[in-house]
Amino acid sequence: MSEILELKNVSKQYGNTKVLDNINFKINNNEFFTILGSSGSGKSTIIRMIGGFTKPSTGEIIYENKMINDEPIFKRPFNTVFQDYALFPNMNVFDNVGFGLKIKNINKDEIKKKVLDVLAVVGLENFSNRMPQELSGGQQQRVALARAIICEPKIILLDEPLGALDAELRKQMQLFLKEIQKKIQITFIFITHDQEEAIFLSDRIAVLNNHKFEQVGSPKDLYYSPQTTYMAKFFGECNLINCQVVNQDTNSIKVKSEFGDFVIPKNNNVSHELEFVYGIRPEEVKLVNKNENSMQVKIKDISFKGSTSTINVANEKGDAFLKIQNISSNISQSLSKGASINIEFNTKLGSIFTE
Amino acid sequence: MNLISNYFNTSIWTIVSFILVIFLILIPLASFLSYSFFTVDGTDIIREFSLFNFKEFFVDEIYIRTFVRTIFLAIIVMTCCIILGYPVAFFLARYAGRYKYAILLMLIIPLFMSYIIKIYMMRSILGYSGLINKVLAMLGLIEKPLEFFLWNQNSVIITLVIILLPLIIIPTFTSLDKIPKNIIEASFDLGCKPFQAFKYIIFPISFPGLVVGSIFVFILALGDFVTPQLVGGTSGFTYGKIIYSNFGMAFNWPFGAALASVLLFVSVIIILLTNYLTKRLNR
Repeated sequence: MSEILELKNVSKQYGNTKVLDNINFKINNNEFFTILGSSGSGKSTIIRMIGGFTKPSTGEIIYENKMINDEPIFKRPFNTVFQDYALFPNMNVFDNVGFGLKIKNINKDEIKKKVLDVLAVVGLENFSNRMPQELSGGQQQRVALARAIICEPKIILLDEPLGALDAELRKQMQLFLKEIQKKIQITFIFITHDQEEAIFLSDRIAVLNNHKFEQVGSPKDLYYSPQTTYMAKFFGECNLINCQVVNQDTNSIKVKSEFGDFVIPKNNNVSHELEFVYGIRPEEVKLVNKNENSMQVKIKDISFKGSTSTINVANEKGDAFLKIQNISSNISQSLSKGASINIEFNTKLGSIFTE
Repeated sequence: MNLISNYFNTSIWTIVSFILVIFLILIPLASFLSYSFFTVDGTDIIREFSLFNFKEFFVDEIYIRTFVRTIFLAIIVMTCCIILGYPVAFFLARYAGRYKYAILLMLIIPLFMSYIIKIYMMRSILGYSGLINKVLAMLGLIEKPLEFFLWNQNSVIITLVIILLPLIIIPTFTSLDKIPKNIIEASFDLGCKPFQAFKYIIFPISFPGLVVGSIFVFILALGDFVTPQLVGGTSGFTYGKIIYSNFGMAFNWPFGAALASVLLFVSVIIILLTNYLTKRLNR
């Protein structure tokens, strides 16, 4: 895969307020790249810098090996789909979609042909004479997308495009976006605060926290190998356990924790740390028969969720707690509050946090 | 219950507003129009239907000539107001930042002032020994006062433009100010240079506001009779002044009413026409 865009050491400051702090990432051609962060985390600023609406305070934006920091908006081969669509209220759907081509002085017949093609792609071929105010939110969204697609940009920037839609429509539009991105083969940079949306849509996700990137990777990477405790808790739930290294050999580490001792496979970069936090997802905690690797815990409560149940357990002393998920309800029915059970971690899928 | 009381309230207010319109606008207007079909004998009004007044209007060419000249005057005033007002509204809306409403307020304040006072003020600025002539004389640029500014058409135009300017700035500003920032950004994003963004996006969106302001200015300039009276002298005669003198000095109410009816008719036609054209343009 070839690389199309890179942000190198990009920071942005408004007066004394730091909005973005040393952002680095590369985007591949035809990738669906999502920037995920809560409101006010600076995610829109990243997209606005790429689009050219604002300039980075320091750092470089590199497009196809060329620095484009000072390139004016209208020269960049990117198009933006705005949060509230930003359709031109003085033009009908046809003129809105054809506007980018009209500015490029393309002849009328060709514009007409292309607009009708693109409207067919977004499923609005019968709406070309409508005014934007006469369309629903989802339809306006499609017009905004069509208006960007028709210019055949190298990258489409989508600034929380689904934020204003209701849940049902949002689902539909997610599917639609994913399909269309595959069909037209254009790089998408997508912004959202919705984790599920990000996981569903993206090839890769960058998680923005506290004005910095916490982690960049595929949805599976982020879920199964979080690099920080923030990331561990960001997608789903995660048990965090304080551990001390007891001893280690070439391929395993034996650790001591509030729940007992257990062995984890050795990970190169932590060999010399004596204390760390171990993260394990609630569904990777297994109920087992007592063995040399198992730990004994007491059941605090059991909540029935249908076919599966969630169990909260405490250690023997009662000062540390774990959550266990996806226990078949057949098994959980035979358990009772206060009883002792033996558990084991699926250590292949645990994470070590050394910060 | 709530629904019923709501309905009751709405219908009462609808009736009240209809009654207000009928009694305060339509009936006085109709009675006024009916006068235009009467005639006078000395100082008595003869209440018999006659088209004499309208015939008089079309036969004596001074009326039509004054009317046409006044329309031209109003067009010049309107054009000047557009040329001066649009840039002001534009810079106010786009570049004045947080001061824009303070500046707008300063533009509105003159509207609270008496119209007559403003005209007198203009007279003291434009007159023989007015501000402009005095300053020019002080600078040694002129030897005797310029007559260009007073007691003629020019002074009427200048005064009307200055008095009516806020009326075009306010609606234009409003329509420019409500253009969301991201719509302009979107136009840049789609390849517009600044001038193209103005041509294709900003101007068309602000156009209806400009039209409303222009109609205000045009209609008010067309019917005005105080300004020509006070700064127009003998050559600054306008149609409004003729109407005024028929009511005030000649005591010929029916003829005044007929002249006013013609003015009203033409004004309504102009409003309807612009309305229609604006709508077609926006399609």
